[in-house]
Amino acid sequence: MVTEIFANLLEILIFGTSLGLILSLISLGYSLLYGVGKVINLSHGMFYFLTGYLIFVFTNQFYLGLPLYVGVILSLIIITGIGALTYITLIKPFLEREIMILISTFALGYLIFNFVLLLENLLQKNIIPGLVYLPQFIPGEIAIPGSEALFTFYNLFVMLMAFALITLVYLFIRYSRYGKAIRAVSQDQDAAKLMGINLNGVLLFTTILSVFLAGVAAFLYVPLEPMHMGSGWDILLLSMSVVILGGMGSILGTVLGAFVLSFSVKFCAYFINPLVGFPLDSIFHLIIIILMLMIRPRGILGKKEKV
Amino acid sequence: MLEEEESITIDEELEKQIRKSRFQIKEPATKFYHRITSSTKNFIDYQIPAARDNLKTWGTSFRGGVILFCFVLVSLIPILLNDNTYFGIFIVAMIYSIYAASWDLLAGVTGQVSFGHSAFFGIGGYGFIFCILFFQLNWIVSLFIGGIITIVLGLIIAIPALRLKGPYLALGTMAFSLMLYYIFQFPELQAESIDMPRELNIWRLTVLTPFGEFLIILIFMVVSILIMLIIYNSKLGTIFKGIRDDEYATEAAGINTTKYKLIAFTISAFFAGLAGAIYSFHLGNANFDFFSNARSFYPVIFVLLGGISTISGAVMGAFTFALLTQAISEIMNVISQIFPSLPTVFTTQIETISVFLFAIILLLIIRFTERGIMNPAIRHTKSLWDLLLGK
Repeated sequence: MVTEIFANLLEILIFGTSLGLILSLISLGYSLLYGVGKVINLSHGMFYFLTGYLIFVFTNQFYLGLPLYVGVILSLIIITGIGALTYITLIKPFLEREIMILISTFALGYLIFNFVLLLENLLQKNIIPGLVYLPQFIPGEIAIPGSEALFTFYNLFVMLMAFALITLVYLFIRYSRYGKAIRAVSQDQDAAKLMGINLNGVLLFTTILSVFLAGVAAFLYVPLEPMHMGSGWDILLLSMSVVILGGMGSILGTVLGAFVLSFSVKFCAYFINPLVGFPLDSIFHLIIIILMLMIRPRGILGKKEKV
Repeated sequence: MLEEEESITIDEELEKQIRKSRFQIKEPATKFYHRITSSTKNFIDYQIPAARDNLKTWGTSFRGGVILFCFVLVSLIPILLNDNTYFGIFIVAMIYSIYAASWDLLAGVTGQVSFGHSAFFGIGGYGFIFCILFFQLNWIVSLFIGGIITIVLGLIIAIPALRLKGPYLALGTMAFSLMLYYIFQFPELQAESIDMPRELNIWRLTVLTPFGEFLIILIFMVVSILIMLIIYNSKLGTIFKGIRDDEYATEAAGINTTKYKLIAFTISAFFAGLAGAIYSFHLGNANFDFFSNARSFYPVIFVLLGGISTISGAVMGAFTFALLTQAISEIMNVISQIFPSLPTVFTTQIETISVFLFAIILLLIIRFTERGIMNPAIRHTKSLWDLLLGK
C-alpha cells in the first residue's frame, strides 16, 4: 500500500513536471500576445491543431511521406504565414475593441477546424479515422521503480526542449533590445508609440512568435499524446486556464500556472477520481477557469487592472 | 365674544369641508371606477386608432412591407411545398432564430458577450425531457418549465459573471458551457442521450404531423420575437443599450446596472432555454451535443450575418443559414449525380461545408461591414424601388 502510494507520488512528480513544462510552452504564446497587445486569441488552440495535422499529413507514410524535418519546417513556415496573415487581416483593424477580436478569432478557429475536418474526410487515407499521431523519433525508455508506467527518452527530450525554449523566450524579452520594445508596448502603447517604437511591427512579431511557439509545442507534444478532431478546443481551454491561473501576460506567471495546473490535474487523476467515482480531471481546468474568474480574475501573478 | 363665535363657526365649516374631502378620499371604489372607465374610454377612443394607424403606416412603409412579405413567404413556402424535409428545415431555422435573437438581446443589445450560450440551450432541452420523464407533465407546460429552469441556471452563471467585463465574461461563459458538455458525457450519469417517451414521440409523428408542429413552432417563434422586439423598443431596452454603450455613465444616471444586467441574463436565458426545449421536442431526444462549442458559435454567425443589435437580424441570419445549407446539399446532390466519381465528402458533410463557408462569410462581414447584411440590403432595395417608381 505504502509502496503503491510512493510509486504514484513519483509518477505524479515525473509526469506532472513533464506536463507542466509542455503546458507552459503551449500557453506561453497565448499569454505573450495578451500581455503585449491585450489580444485574446481564441484560435490559438487551432494553430496548435493545424500544425500537428500538417506535420501528420506531410510525414505520414499513407499521405505524402516526406522526411520528418522537411515536414516540420514546411508546417512551421505555413503556420507562421497564417499567423502573420491573421494579425494583418483580423487583429490589426480591431485593436481598440477586444470583443471584435474575440469574435473574429473564434470564427477563424471554426474556419480552420472545419477546413481540417473537410480535408480529413476528403483524403480518407488515415488508417485510424479521426486520430492524428506522430512517431517518437528517439527510442528507449526507463522503468519507474515500483510502477508499471514507462518514462521514455523522448519525454525527457521534450522536457529539455520546452525548458530551453521557455528560457530563450524569457531571456529574449528580458535582455534583448527588441524585447525591451515588446515590454514597452505591453506597459503603455501610446507612450511606446511616442518613443518611436513601431507598434504594428512589435504586435506582428509577437503574433508570429505566439503562433510559432504553438506550432513547436504541437511538434513536440503530439508524439506523446495523439490528437483527435476536437483537440484544438481542448488545447485552447487548457492554455486559457493556465493563463487565467497564473496571470495574464506574465511569463513567470504562465509557468507557475502551468505547474500548479499540471500537478493538481495529475493528483486529481490519481487520488481524487477513485474517491468521486467519475473523471474529475477532465473538467478540472474548466473548474479552475470559473473559480479563478470569480475569485481573482487577474491571476496569481497578474498585474492589477480593471476587470 | 363675537370673535370667538365667528371662529367656532369657521372651525365647524372647516371641519365639514375636511370631512367632506375625507369622505371623498374614503370612497375609493367610485374613484377607481371613474379612473378605469376614463382610461378604457381613452384606450378605445385614442390608443387603438393610434396603434392601428401606426400599424398601417408601418405596414405600408417599405421596411414593414418587406418584413410582412418575408413573414408570409416564410409561412407559406413550406405549406405550399408540403414536403416533410422542408418542414424540418423551417422548424430548425425557426428554433435557431429564437436562440440567436436571445443571444442578440444579451450580447448585441446589452453588450454582455457570451460564448457559452449553448449552456442555456442544452439545459432547456434536458429540462424539457426531464419534466416529461419524471413528472409526467403536459408537453406544452414542459416547454415553459424548460425555459424557467434555464432562468435558474442563467442566474447561477450571471451572479459570478457580473463581476467580469468584456473578454473575461466571454471566456467564463465558454468554460461553463464546455464544463456542462463534459459532465453530460460522463458514463456514470447515463445522460449522454435521453429519448422522449415513446407515446409522446409517436403522437408527435402521427397525430401532430410535421405540418402541425410547424404551425405550433411558428406561433412560438412569432410570439418570442415580438416579445423581444417589444423589450428592445421599450424603456428597458434603452437601459440595456445604455449599459452597452457606457456602463459608467448609465450608473451615474442613477440606474442600478447590476440589476438590469441580471434582468438581461434572465430574459436571454429564458428564450434560449425555450429554444432548446422546442429543439429537443422536435428531435424527440436530448443529447450532450446540445452543449457543444459549435452550438455556441451558431448564434454568433446568425446575428452577425443579419446585423448585430437588431433582433430581427438574427431571424434573417438563421433562415439564410438554414436555406443556404439546404441549397448546398441540393446542389451537391445534383453534382454527385452528374459526376459519380466525386468523393462522398460533398454529400455527407454538408453541415461542415456550410459552417466552413459561413465562417468565411462571417470574417468578411466582420472585416468590411460590421452591421450585417439586413439593414444595408433593405436600404439598397428601397432606393432601387424608389428609382423604379420614379420618386
